[in-house]
Amino acid sequence: MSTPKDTPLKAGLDWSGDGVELSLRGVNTAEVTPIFVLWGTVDGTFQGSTAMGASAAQIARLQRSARYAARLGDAEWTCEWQLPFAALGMIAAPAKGLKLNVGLRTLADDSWAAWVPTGGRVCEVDLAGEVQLRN
Amino acid sequence: MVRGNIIDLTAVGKPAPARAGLDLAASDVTASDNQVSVRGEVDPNVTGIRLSEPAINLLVHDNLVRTCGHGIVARPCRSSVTEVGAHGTFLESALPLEWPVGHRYRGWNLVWLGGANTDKLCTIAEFDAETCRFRLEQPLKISVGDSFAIFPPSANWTLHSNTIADCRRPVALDGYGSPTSVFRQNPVTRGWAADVAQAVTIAGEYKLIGNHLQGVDEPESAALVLLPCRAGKTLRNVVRDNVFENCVQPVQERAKGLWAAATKHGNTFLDCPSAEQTEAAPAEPIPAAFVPAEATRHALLEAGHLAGPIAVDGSIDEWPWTDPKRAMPIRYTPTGDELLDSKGRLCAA
Repeated sequence: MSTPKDTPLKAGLDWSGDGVELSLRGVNTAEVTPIFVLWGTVDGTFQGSTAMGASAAQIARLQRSARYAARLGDAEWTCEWQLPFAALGMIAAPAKGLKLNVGLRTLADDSWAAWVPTGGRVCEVDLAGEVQLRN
Repeated sequence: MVRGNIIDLTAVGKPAPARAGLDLAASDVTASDNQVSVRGEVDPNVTGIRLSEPAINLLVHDNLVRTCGHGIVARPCRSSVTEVGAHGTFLESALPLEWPVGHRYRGWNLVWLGGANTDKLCTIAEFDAETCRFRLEQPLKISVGDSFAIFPPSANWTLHSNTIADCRRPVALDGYGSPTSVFRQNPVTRGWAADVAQAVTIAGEYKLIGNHLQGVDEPESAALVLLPCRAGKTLRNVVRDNVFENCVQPVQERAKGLWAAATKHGNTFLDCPSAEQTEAAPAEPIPAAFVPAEATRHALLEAGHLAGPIAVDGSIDEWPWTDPKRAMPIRYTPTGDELLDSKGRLCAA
């Protein structure tokens, strides 16, 4: 993600800082998962949200198992997520893949950017993109 | 009526987010005699005039749009099923509610973007204004989460006599359009904007009549770009009596046959190297340059196994960023404006 000029990045949970929102759900017919919403900020901390239907227990399980890290550079900052399928309530990799969207929050210009525009909230993954898992 | 405004969208001080001069998302609107501009350099985050389906009866004329990232943009409307009821009825998440005395979406087109009916084109029987439920003429097996777009059989959009100058993406008619969606007598000039890949792009059913497209003369650029219809329809666009002047490629198509299927006559090509026009050898019908579409209709990211193990440490060097199927840019606002400079990239494995 590009780093704004002249404005330092600011970390913050609860969507209060610069960061990335990752939203996803499994789309197997027999294994419909709720939409999981994760927020990761620039200091490497993250949290989950029940805003899109996941229960508190499901989010707690995901937070225990997920891993997130961020690294700041001069011109850009980067982050990585690792999400076990089991923590998303799936027995194995979903054959039909995942519905997914990524939102990027930048405080410097008070903006959101999205991988796929949904017309509204970035976490409306049914209107967003798909990830197909390949062997 | 939105008339006679001077809208200055120049960013002052800190960087400004994506913004639009006029955002026409409601039906029955006339927008005329407005000026939307940015002082100084072209601002890629600015859209001059945005029109959104499913609005109908839009009349946009005699506006001046200058130095914007996007000049005039028409966008499709998407929604998804939130609840499936009896007899094939359903609730959805994003469409404007209609009054009982309105059109209630009767006879409108609905194309499925996801789920078991992907790419199927249907007709809406009606929208119940009291229960907010939609019903299709031919009931389908649908599921919660299925996404779709709608567009009217007749949108009644008339965009005429607007001047669009010095914009990076001057005109993008990206909605589904209709037989009554008309773009006529608009001067569209590149001016001093750089990196103008195309002056006018069309992804739906529109009529382009009497426009003047001028100065799209950078390498690989095109004055008019035809994109395939998302609903899978064979588009029969009308491209008539337009002047293409000083353009490297007057017409470019992103699927074969789009230009051949268009109704076209009376177009004039001046100083266009690929369409030399003389008395003895009129240039029309000119061949359209074929450039395959970059993106699929649905955003799709492939996630395969990585060559080696990943250390989750924030360093991304081991990820396959050079594979275009596995790495994609983050370059839209949530509401659908394209950011001309992408803000980031993502990759999955």
